[in-house]
Amino acid sequence: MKVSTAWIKEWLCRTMSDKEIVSALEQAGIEVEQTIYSKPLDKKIVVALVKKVIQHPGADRLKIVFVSTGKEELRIVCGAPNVREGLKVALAQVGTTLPSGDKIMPAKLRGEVSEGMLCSERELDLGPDHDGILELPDSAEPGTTLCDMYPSDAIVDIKTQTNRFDLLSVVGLAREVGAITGAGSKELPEGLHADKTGGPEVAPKVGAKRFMLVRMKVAADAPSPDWMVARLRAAGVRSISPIVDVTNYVNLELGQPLHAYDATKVKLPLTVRLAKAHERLTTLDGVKRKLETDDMVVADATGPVGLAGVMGGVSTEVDDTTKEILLEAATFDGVLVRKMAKRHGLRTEASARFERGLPVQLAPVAMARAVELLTQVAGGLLVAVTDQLNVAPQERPIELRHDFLNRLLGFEVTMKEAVAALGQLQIEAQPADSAEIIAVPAVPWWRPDLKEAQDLVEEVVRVLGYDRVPSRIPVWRPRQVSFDHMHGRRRQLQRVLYGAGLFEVMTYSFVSQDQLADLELDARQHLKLKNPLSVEQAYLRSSLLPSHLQVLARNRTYAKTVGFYELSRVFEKRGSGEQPAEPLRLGVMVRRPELAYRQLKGILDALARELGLELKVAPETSAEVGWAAGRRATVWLGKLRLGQIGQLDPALLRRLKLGGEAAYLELNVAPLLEQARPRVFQGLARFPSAQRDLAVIVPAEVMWADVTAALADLPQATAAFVEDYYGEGVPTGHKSLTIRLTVRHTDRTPTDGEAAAVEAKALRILERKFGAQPRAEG
Amino acid sequence: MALDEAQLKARIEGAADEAALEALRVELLGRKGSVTEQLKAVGELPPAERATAGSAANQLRLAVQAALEARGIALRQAQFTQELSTPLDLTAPGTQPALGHRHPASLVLDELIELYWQMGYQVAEGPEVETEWYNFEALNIPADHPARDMQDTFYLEEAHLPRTHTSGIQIRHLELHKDELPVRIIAPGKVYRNEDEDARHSWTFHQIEGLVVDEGISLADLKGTLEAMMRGILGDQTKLRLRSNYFPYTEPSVEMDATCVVCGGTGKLGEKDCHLCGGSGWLELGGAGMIHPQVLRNIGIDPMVYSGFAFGFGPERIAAIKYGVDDVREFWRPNFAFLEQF
Repeated sequence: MKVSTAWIKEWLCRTMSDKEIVSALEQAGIEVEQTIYSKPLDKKIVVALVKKVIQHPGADRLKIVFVSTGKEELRIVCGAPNVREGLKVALAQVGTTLPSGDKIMPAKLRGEVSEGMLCSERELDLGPDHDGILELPDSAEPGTTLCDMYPSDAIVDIKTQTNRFDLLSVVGLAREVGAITGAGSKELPEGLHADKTGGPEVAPKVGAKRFMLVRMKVAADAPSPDWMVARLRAAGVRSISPIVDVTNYVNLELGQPLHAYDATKVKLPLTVRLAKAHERLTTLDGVKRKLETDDMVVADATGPVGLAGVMGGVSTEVDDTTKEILLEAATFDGVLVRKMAKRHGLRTEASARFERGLPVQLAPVAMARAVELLTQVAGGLLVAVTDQLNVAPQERPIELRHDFLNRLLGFEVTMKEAVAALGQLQIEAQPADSAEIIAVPAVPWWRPDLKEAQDLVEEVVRVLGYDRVPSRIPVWRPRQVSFDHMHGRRRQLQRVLYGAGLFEVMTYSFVSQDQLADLELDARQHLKLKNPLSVEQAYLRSSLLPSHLQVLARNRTYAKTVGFYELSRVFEKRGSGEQPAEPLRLGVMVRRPELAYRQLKGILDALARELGLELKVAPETSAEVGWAAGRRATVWLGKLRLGQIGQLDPALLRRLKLGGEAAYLELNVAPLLEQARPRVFQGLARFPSAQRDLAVIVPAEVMWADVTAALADLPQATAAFVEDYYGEGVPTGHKSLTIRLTVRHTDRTPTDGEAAAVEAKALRILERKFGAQPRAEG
Repeated sequence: MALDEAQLKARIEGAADEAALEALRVELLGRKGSVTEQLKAVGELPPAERATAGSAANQLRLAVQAALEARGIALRQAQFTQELSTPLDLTAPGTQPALGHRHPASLVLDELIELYWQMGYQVAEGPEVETEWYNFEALNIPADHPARDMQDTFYLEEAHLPRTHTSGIQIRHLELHKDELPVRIIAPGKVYRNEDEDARHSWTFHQIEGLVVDEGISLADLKGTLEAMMRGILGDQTKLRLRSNYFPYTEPSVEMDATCVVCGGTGKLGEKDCHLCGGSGWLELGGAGMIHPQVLRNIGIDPMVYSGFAFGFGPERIAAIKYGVDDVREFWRPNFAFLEQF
């Protein structure tokens, strides 16, 4: 909401600077998003009296004007049609900077000297008029600076709390400023009372807690006054006609939306009801709307004339010829209005206020103010008033225990202070029950948000100021302490990945249907958003791979060798109505010109070692989209399937315009962290070991995992992978495998003979199990 | 044949390298070396000559030993001089270890958790896809409450919603622990908002939620905790300001601002307005408040006996401030050129 500070000032009990107002609003908890200070007018612009006007000798349209500032007489060349002797004008003397930034210099116009300029309203940024110069009131004293006559007011753009309807009004804001500063604010006018008989006939059926309708004769023979237009403009509301302007003005000032109907176009009675099927309504914005049966409409005998609380209809609109109006001030149900506004995509100044839930007491006050203003600016004459109150307001008492107040605040506030603070907010409170209870017998009707003691505590501290609150650290006396090991282990995991030189990334949890389709993932197996921001982010991912392919593609040119990882949850759809499973996943991607898988596998091995776990990588033979044929394996932790590791399909990479190889790993992290074990110290070797490298030729499909399993029982010896080799010198379908055998005794250094025996035994095992042949030297 | 000490010394001096010197040592002092032999020969001399000859031979051995040692030192020294003769630019960049790059928001999250651990808080988590109850209703935001507009919500087609805040974890945690109060937790996690993005807002981000419930927890406790936290995150000189605000699940509710880390709270950098705080001297960091009595009642905790506070703020926002990142969308792009700076 944008509002001119001048308007707020009008409701305050003492004068206040814009800065003071802004800071009070902020302390009250109203977010001031922007303060637009208009620059004060240059002090060289003063009131001048036109003494004499003569025709310019060289130009028909120009005149030479002699003006007096009270101190001196000046000669000005002026082209305004309305310049005349005896007029009080705004004179910009030489040296003035106009609001536009233009500077007034001594000039010669068609040969005649001009010692300044007489200004139009627009040139002074005081209004839109530029047909002639600004005519100042006769009372203006020559020599007075214009900036004193037209003080510049700021416009504050504020965001208010959704539970406070009253803050969407000038009066409500003034009340807050008055309370915080202690200045006080003016009271609301007396409400308008209904006639006993003879008011326009109404029959609200649903959704209107109150429905007031006033009949007035109007005779608007002039546009709305400047002050009204200016305030509406500051609030971003265009001036339309005095009648409409008054309804908008009162809405901004008091927060009660009003609507004026041309009385001759309405066939009474006016009702409030739900729309019937197939009813239509053309709203004031010119849109022809199909109504739903849960739309709340104001209707006359012929049909709907307005979307209740949202926008009026064209058929009963007031115009220049309107002589009589029906003015409506209703208390519509906020929830219904909110739903309608949403459904029709039509959030208006009116609906925004109704949505917050208006109290029924507001309508008569707003009606009184509207009648007053219409009388003043639109030749209004009150004819009759109808007021139907369907929900009677109730007094709402609240009691606040003094000790509760102090306990919740954590510092001592006396009864007197608390009562005074509430009083500043126009909440009448008094000590009750031997001064231990602060009793609020009736919460002001404009504060429906105040419901219980805690709400009053907030009001007290808001007025006292949060600076009064001392700082303390709460005492911690837990009943027991349970320790969290998961986070420490998670960090351990992160350390390994960091040490492996990987980037940590964060990617969006939502992916597109195309991303799923690229990997032939079934979109129906994924949770889908009802209202995505875009199709790019419509599904909740069940794997990190789609996102990580995108990361690769987007960083295509970064480097040929790069690796990254992400720790994030994914979403697995379960039975309908059930919350999805959200396993925490680790995704690791390595891209390299070659040997990408080897590097990734090294990272997996390091993770396993670091977490003290034995992970099994079991190759899968079945094809899966995204993975290179035969280069995908399942990662097992005991009987638990943790995830997959493998090389990605080169065709997929080429589609993403990526060269080289990429290998990918995705694991469920929770079991890793839960089962992580501390490492066990193996003892230092006391005697040197003997090492023998054994090179054998085995069929290509023999996996290292099988080899280590076969050699697991070698006495006092371990087998380690050195390298495998395919190619020259190795028969087709085979590979050369080099194994390092380390023989170690706990009580002595192994002899050459013992080492040779182990090597021979290893070879025998490999021959028997895999048909291995020793590889010829050289 | 008697050995000539001067000659031997000359030969030692003339040894060109350590290998030659070692060969000479073996030739002279080895088991069958000439000096050794001479020493052994002393034993075969008539007893009368033994003393003189022995002493001479021993002296020769010592002299040879000393010469060998001296020559060895000289040779090694020359070697070092040779090795160090290539100039080394001590200021040239070193070889970089291949370390990774932690994500800045993740670094901040870790740092925050570390701070809270020191204050006795433990980490709790909750689901990212929540029910309306935990995300809204239990937090005193009923359906059709205008406050639901405060956080534009994504909805799933079937049911549930990606949580709009981590506050639902408060409820889940309190439900589990209401019979073993007090509790003191922080709950970090991702949240989702159906909002358009700009340099200051991304539609997904992390939050870290704090919750303390005990008997007699007051607004002063909240203020002190927030103040300590700000100092921990942004430095000891940081000051805290609370401003009144509205959240349906806290009462009183406050907005927490910290003095700007760039201008130190003055709002000015020289003549100009500070670019980070826009001239206000304050940085908006998050929201907090005393837990609303209705929220406690929803869980079955008596608000007249227990009270508590909750606070929430965003690690990305802190990271943006700490590292001077002016577009929060960078955190989610992943762009390695951005991430490599961390």
